[in-house]
Amino acid sequence: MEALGGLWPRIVGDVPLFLVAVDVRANGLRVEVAPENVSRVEAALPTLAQALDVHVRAVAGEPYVADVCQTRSNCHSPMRAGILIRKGSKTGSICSQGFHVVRNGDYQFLTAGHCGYSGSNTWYHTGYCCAIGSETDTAFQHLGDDIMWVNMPNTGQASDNIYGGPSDIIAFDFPRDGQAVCVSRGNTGGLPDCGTVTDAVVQYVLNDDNLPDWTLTGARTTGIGAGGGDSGSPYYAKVGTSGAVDLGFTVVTVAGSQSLGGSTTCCQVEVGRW
Amino acid sequence: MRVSAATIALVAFGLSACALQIEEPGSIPIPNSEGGTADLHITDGSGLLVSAEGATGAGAAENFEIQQAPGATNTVRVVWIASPCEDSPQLTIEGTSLDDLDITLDRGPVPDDVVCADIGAVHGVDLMFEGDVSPEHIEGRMVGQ
Repeated sequence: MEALGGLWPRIVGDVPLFLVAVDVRANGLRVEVAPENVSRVEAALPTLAQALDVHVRAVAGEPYVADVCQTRSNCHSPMRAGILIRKGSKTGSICSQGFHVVRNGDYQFLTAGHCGYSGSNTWYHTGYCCAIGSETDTAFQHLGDDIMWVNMPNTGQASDNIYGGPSDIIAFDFPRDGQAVCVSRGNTGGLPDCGTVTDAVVQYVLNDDNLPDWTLTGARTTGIGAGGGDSGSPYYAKVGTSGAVDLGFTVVTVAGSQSLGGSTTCCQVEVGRW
Repeated sequence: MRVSAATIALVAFGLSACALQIEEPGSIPIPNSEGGTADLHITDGSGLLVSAEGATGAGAAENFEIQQAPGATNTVRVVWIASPCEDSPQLTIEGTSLDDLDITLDRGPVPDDVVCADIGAVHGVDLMFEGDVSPEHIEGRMVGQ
C-alpha cells in the first residue's frame, strides 16, 4: 500500500486518491476515487498493477472527512439528529434536524413540515460544505401532520445518533399518554429537556400569519420548552444507558412550557441503523 | 419562509430616556465622553432585516450578534433569531460614549395559549451612529423567551 502511494502520481497523475484498502476477495488492492475519475484510473490500472505485482481495482468513493461535532451548528460526518439546519443558504431561517430514516430505500432526515412551507426546498448546515438535502415529501397539510422528509444525497452523513443524547436509536414507537420523553433541542438552550407526554394524539392549529390555518395532528408534552429554531428537534424515550426510541419531534411551543410534536404515527419509518 | 416584518421598539437611555418606532426614523441623543451628545440615527427603509428568500444583510448569527455593518464604520448591525410569535422585540441602548455602549435586545413575551411555530427567522436592524463605532466596544445581550 505504501508503494502504491509512491507510484500513484507518476502512473495515474493528479487524481485525488481517497482511500486504499486491501481487497480480500480479489486478493488485491481497492482504490477509491471520485466517480468522475474512475474511468481515468481504470485506464492506468494495468500499469499500476504491473508495477506493484498485485491486482488493483478502482471504485467510486467519497473523500474522507474526520468526524466533526463541536456544536449544533458544526456537527457532521456523520450528522446527528438535533443539529441546526438552515433553509436556502447557510444564513437562512433555522430549524432542527430530526431523525434519519430510510424510506423506500432513500436516505432521508425528518423535520417539521412547516419549516418547508414556501420558499427554498434546499437545506444547509452551517459547518458543512454544501447543501445537505432537498425536501422530497411532506405531510404538512390540512388534517395532516407537521412532518416533512428531506433526502440525504451524501448517505455517509446519516447516523442513528442524537446530538447530546443517547448514542443509538434502536427503534421507533408512537408516543403514549404518560410516557417519559426527552428532546435534543436544536437551538434554544436553558430549557428543560425532558418531560411527559400528556396527549399522545391531539389536534391543533399553528398561530402564524404566514402559515395556513390547517388543523394538524401531533402529540402534546409538558415540561419541555422550545423556542425559535427548535422546530424539528427529535423527541426520544431513553432505553437503558445508551439506547433511545424515536418518538417523533417537537415542532411548536404552547405557552412556553408545553410543546407539540409531529409524531411518526402518520408514517411508519424505518429507523436508520448505521 | 415568508416572515412579516415585526415592529421593533428602540429605547435609548442617555441623559433622558427616549423611544421611537423603526417606522419613524429619527435621532436619539446619547451622551459622549466630552459631555456633549452623539446622535443615534435609525436607518431608514432597510432598518429591519428579516431572512427570507432574497433577503439581504443578516449574517449567519445563531441567536444574537452585533456585527459591523458592511462598509460602514459608523453602523452596527444587531442580528438575532426569533420565532414568529416573538413579534414585539425591544432594543435598549445605554452608554456614556460610542466607545462604551450597552445594547440589550428583549425579544418580548410569547403570548400565552398560542401554538407557536418554532421556526427561527433571522432578524436584524442597522444602527447608524454619528461617529465611528465598533462592535468590540459594545456589550450586547439578549433577554426574553
